[in-house]
Amino acid sequence: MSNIAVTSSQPSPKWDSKQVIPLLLLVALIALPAVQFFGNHNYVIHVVLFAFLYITMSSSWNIIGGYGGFISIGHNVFFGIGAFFSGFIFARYGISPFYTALLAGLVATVFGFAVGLITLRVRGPSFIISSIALLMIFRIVFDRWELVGAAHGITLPHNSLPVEWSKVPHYYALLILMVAAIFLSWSVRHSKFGLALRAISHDEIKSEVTGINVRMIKVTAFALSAFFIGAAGAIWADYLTYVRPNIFFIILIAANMVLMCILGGKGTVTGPIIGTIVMIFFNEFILAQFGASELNIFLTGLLLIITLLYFPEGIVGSLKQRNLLPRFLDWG
Amino acid sequence: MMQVLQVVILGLALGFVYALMVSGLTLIFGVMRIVNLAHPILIITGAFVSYWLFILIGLDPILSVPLAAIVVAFLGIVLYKLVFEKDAAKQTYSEMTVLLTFGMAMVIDGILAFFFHNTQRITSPSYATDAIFIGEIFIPTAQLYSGLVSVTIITALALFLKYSNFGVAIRATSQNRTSAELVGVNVKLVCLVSFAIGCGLAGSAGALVSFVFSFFPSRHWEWIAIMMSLVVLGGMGSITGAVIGALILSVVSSLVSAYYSPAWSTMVFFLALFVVLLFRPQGLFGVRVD
Amino acid sequence: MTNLLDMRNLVAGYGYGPDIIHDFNLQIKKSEVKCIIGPNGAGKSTVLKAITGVLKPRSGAVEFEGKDIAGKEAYQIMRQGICFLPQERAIFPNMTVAENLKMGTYSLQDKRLAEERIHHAIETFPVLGERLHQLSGTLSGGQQQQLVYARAFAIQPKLMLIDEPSLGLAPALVEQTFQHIANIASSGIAVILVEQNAFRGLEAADYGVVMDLGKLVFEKPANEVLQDQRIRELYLGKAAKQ
Repeated sequence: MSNIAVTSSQPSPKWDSKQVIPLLLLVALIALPAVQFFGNHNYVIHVVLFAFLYITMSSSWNIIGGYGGFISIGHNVFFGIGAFFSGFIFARYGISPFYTALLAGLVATVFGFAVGLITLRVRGPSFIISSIALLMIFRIVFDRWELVGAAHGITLPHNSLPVEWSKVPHYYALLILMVAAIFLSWSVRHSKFGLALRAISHDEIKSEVTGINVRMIKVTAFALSAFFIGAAGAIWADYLTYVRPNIFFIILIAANMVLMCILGGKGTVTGPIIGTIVMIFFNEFILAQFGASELNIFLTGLLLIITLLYFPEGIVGSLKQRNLLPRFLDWG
Repeated sequence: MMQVLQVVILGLALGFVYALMVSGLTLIFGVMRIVNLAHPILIITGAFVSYWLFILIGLDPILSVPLAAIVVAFLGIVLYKLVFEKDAAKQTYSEMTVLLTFGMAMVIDGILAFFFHNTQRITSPSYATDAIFIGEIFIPTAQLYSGLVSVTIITALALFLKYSNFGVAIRATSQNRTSAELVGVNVKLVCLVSFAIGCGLAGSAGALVSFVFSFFPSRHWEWIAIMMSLVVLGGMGSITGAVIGALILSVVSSLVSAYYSPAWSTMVFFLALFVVLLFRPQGLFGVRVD
Repeated sequence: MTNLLDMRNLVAGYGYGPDIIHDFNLQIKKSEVKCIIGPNGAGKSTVLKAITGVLKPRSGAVEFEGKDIAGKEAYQIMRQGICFLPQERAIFPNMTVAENLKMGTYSLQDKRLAEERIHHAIETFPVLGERLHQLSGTLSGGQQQQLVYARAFAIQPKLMLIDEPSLGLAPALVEQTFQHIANIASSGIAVILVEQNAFRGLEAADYGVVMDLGKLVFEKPANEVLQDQRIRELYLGKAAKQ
């Protein structure tokens, strides 16, 4: 890796803001549930773990949507697959989603690979539309599938922890998934695989000519991007204590992933993180101020349009262009 | 045998309504290479215009077709000026425009849902529950009327595109934008007017849909994929293709609904989309640009 | 005689990219034929695009018949009497031959005159007359080429700009195309031609305009251009200098 060679050859201090700030943040996040010793701060826990969930998903989406340039607005099928897989096992065999989350991720990945083989043959508008169609197919199938409860879905048992600690297992599970998803995104960004992927997003034919196995790379990227979304779906099913098609297979979830990623800066490692944090604060503010979810969808759309028209590079991308990006956010 | 014929005729009547629903979508794509994901919510907007005119002043939804068309066409002009004007000159299509229309769909959905909530509505003129019998075959009047009006509007559109000066300019622009500009066509004006016509078609379709299907703001997400499958089958950008695609899929879906289960009938549309994808890997939008 | 087109200190480029042509000057009088030659990337096609408004000039003046046209929309410039044939085959594939020809008279209000011109174009290109109701996308390459020139005839411009007419054509078609160009020139239309095939292009022209790196190198009567020492340098590179 060329940039590692560059940093190690410089006589710079071993620790700088690039490592220290993220590590401090991580320590703070690990320690955060301790606030529950001082009263019930479930709202804080909820908002933060909600952010973990979406950072996991938007960072994963970024792999295919940001680096690969394939805009999927049906990516929450993997979220739903993970949730239904683990939820079904929990309801039928009593094995908690915490044990099956990674397996759910794997199921989503395998499924993503199969779907990718078909839909990634096209790009641009065709791909976007195929992603919506995929979501619609899932919605119809799960709305009718009696084994998994059809439109009513599956109801899961609550955990037996006291109310102030009941969210903490999900908190840590999603924290781990988030860190792993960011790490995956970072690894892809700085690997040969990621380079090939970005080449593909610019020009598939030229990439093919340079000897890149275009089809394999894009399908693998699609499958990889499904993994943590599927795993997060499993945890989220346990958190909600129910899995229902009209909760998991709605386009708004995918729209949020896309928006968070574009708002923060698609194709950058830290973009989805920043985008998600901004969006969640924004959403919470709107909910607190107006309380109506219809306004939420209106403002999400408006924000998407404004971002696309005026800051297509997103927050991180725009700052980077102007050389204003703080070092600790510049992960490539 | 009689029953099959019955189902096919119902499917055809509905197919023409579908064809009208997608004609504006395919026109806008042809001219501007914009896949307008906001098209279905514009149809629902048209349906609301018609619905409220019926509730408030008792105007027959068929008579409100032109009004709904005008209102939505005007809305289209506003959207075009706000969102697309800047990039309209660019011939190349980008993912951006799909996301832009996606954002537009969310915005309109949010506004409609805020005012009218996601409750199911349907306009119910007196003839909505009637049916006409031809021998043993019955046709619900709502579907018959909406089908007939759709055929009329589509025919008018086709004649306009084929013979009027401006229609020819629209076709020229969609086939070769640079060349159109080079023979003196005001391409930006063509874009604006086509966008307005496309949205107007959505509005008129909305008025007809308002007494055929029940509607509510967030229903457009389901319609997006349905409508895409119709145009994709017939070839995006071609009105004739859209009509053929709509008729075929509508009949097939009616047959599935009658002989298998109504719950699975919409699946026909989505599966068709995937089948086209499988057999046409060069893309759903095989418009010749050379 | 006054200049039909007068282009002074023109600067143009694409998007946010660098300037492709700098301080470019070019004049053309009525019924002159000028051929712009130069190596790949010299900015020849960019000059044509800047005149026609397909590309908006960044600075400088473009006057056509004494009127400033720089920065105008392409369709407005075309309506002044300039016709541009780009490199890509400029037909409307899903329209019939007749409709394609009709597009040539699109901005003409006088219907009688329009029909007359179309009639004249068909007389000049009789092959097309036999295929008026065929979709032009189904014509052969040579016929499509004829259609493009026939439509230009119907437009009856005062100035015609042609970008690389021989690019990608079979030798027989190249001859045919230059025949069309000669026809156009002999009817009194001024022509600016950009041509990679310098010999063939200069043969058809009165003047040769030599460009390199976005600048005018020199302009001379066409038959003298090829004798100029600087041409060898341009085409053979620095090696020829030493």
